[in-house]
Amino acid sequence: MKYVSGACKSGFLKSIAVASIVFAAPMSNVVAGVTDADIANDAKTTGDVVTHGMGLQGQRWSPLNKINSKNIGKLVPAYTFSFGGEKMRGQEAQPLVHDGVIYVTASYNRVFALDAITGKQKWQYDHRLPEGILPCCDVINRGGALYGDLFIFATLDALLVALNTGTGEVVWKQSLGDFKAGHSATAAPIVVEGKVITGVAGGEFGIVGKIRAFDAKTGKLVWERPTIEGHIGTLNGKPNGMTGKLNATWPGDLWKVGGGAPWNNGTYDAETRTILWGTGNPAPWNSHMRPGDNLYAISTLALDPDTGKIKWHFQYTPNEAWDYDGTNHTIPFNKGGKKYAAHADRNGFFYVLDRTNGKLVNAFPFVDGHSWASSIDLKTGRPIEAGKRPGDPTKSADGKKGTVVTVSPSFLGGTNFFGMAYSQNTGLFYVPTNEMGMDIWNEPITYKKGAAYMGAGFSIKPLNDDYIGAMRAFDPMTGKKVWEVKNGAPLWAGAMATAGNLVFYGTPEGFFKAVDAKSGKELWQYQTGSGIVGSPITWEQDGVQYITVPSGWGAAVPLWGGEVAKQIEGIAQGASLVTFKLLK
Amino acid sequence: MKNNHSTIFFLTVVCFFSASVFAESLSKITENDIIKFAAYDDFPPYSYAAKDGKAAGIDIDIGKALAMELGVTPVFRLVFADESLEDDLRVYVWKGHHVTGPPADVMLHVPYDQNLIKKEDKVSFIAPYSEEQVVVAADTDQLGNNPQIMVFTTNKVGVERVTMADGYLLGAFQGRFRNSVVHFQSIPEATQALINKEVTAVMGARTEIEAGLGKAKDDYQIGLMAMPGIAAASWDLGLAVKSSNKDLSKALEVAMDKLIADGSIKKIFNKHGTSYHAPAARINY
Repeated sequence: MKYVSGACKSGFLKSIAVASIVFAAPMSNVVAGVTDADIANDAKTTGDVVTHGMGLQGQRWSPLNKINSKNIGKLVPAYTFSFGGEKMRGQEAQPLVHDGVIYVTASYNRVFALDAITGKQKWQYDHRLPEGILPCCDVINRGGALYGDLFIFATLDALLVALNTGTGEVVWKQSLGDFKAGHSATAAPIVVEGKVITGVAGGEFGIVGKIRAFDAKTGKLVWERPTIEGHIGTLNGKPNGMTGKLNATWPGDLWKVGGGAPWNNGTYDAETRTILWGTGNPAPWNSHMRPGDNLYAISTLALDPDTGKIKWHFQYTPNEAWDYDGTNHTIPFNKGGKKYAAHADRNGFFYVLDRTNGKLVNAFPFVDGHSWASSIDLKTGRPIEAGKRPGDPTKSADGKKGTVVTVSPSFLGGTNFFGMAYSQNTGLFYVPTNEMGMDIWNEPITYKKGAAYMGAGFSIKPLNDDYIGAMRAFDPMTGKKVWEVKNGAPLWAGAMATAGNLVFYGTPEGFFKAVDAKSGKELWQYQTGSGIVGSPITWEQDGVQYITVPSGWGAAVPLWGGEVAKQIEGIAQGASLVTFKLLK
Repeated sequence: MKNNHSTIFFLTVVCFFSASVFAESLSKITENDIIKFAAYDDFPPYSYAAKDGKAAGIDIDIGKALAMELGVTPVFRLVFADESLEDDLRVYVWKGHHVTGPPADVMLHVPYDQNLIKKEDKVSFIAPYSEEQVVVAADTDQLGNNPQIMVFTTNKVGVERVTMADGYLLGAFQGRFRNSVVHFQSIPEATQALINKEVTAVMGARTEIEAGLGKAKDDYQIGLMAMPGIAAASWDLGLAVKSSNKDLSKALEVAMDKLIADGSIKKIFNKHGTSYHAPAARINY
């Protein structure tokens, strides 16, 4: 296999032209290749996709309509590119495309650059993974960011790596933490006005979450915002204020090891100049040991992009007890001249916030199974809990298995990291949902590193006989479910909405599907050969609209499946990128 | 990129090599003259990388002694603890992992517990060799002699995060001690804080605390304390072997019986500055 071709795409003349166009930008932001303007306008420009979420707002929306609900029957594969070999694990990425080249990450922290039309490989980068990485949840990666002539992505051993887009060679590397202590990274970073913004995973190992901004050209740290109260942020190497107020919502010194890992990527809203980033569980896992809301775990943080200061926050699950990470995307959208942000949480509720101040506007359940809480109080933003909190393990002195609590959603969430889509035409959000519950019980004696401690047991189970997953369309303002398409296996892949009145998404059964955005009518599907856990994109090149999606089964569902395993038996592994266009 | 080529070549060689020597039957182990042990990294005084990069510690010395009894050469692999023992057993004892490769022949420092034995059918839990105890090392200058658990209502006590001591102190007596608990990433950090008088006591695994205090050990009162409601105040440590590997299990059990009977195991603990406590499973035969 050819890993690097000598063909280095010369963007020199073009970059001069671009530089003269973006004269308004500060000189330091004028770069070859992908510009700040390209990033800011990504959701509007149809010739490329240079950001995760198809625009920094993460709406996964395209104004392209050449492929539409009338001609979708003629959509056929243009090529299938194999990520190859024995490295067929979960392919969770969203590809990027710029200047006729697709950049996509694959399992085992590999990166591929391909000719977007032919699928011919230009180069491949293989990150060398150290043996000591903690092999938790498959060797996945969710994608990268483009800036200038750099492709920037994060690795399982907690490095941020910038590759030259022409050659695939490493330009800079930056550590996000010691992988031996449990730090890891799988999310796609985003670039905001020349800074690459990223979080880090590892909350289950007591890592305190940090959201960081690095100079995208050099990898140098600009600011750092810890997600848990009591910790001090930094700006240009100097202290920049405490997150929250010490011991306001945490007892003792537990804030020091309080978790809150921002392991998914966030979004950016240029209209309010706000970064919106979700945070994970508080630690330790048992809520009885940390009475209090445990801010800012399980929250969306609204950050100033220049300084990393917190403008506002919204917490979804106070004193969290069920593993409902608050890391799903918070997606800006406008309606009736008002600025909102939408968030479908792992906890099964869909929240609409005023993104100028974080105030709750609307909240409604998007899954039937939300037995942990009956509703969200619209005045306080707090859940009305239904008495399904797992018990206190210290109350079980005999060392036996504690009382089993059956609760929904499961810890895999009503939806998860992969991202819903928003149609600017229909005004609907398209949410890949899962109807799963779990049994959860205390295990007063479990073992970790050869020593006893108090843990918990989980077992996931489907809530219905005939389906687990369901693609659903919601009106965010009324909470009305406009339509749904049921799916046997849990949905674990991002959606995409287009002006062609279409919603695209993949299923673990291997089908890449298109449905009518207004009615949910299933219009088209293609069997990609393996389960889909990655996100599609669309763009046009030389007047032709293309769609591409990674295929390759793996990631969290097969690892944690419990009874769900029956629904996903026999799904073949694979590792490919399938690109489509209309038959002429 | 030349680097990519060399990386892939390296990985291929490592995987190939690994596959031929990991998790072998006793006859293969004898034939190859190599027995592979997995032990936790960064876990003094049990197992850690010494300054020369070689594996060292109590568990490593026990592995060496076992290998000598079997007449083969020991090779040690220092591994990282995942969220639960079940994960470690899967990756390092019976199945392996697509990043870290095939499992080892033997994992050291695995709890010997009847519930685990019932639950994990893919693993044989064998040869218990010591008992770990949850103890308190108290600074009697600050707490007086023979302090009782209630002193932690007001006095700072250090723990390693996510341990039995941590969970117990956060929850016991309706959280009465919760605000006194000071969390550390490891026992050596906690014992250093005790020496620095930042805390009045450390609660945790006896062997780690004794080693962490080192020469200062005699300045502190170290012992069991009445801890009403604790889920487990002690547990036995032994070996884990893939359950299908019966010949190896038997050979290791015979070897361990001998090493305990002739005092070798006790000597190893004492050599590392720690006291030895025989496993309850052997005392209660």
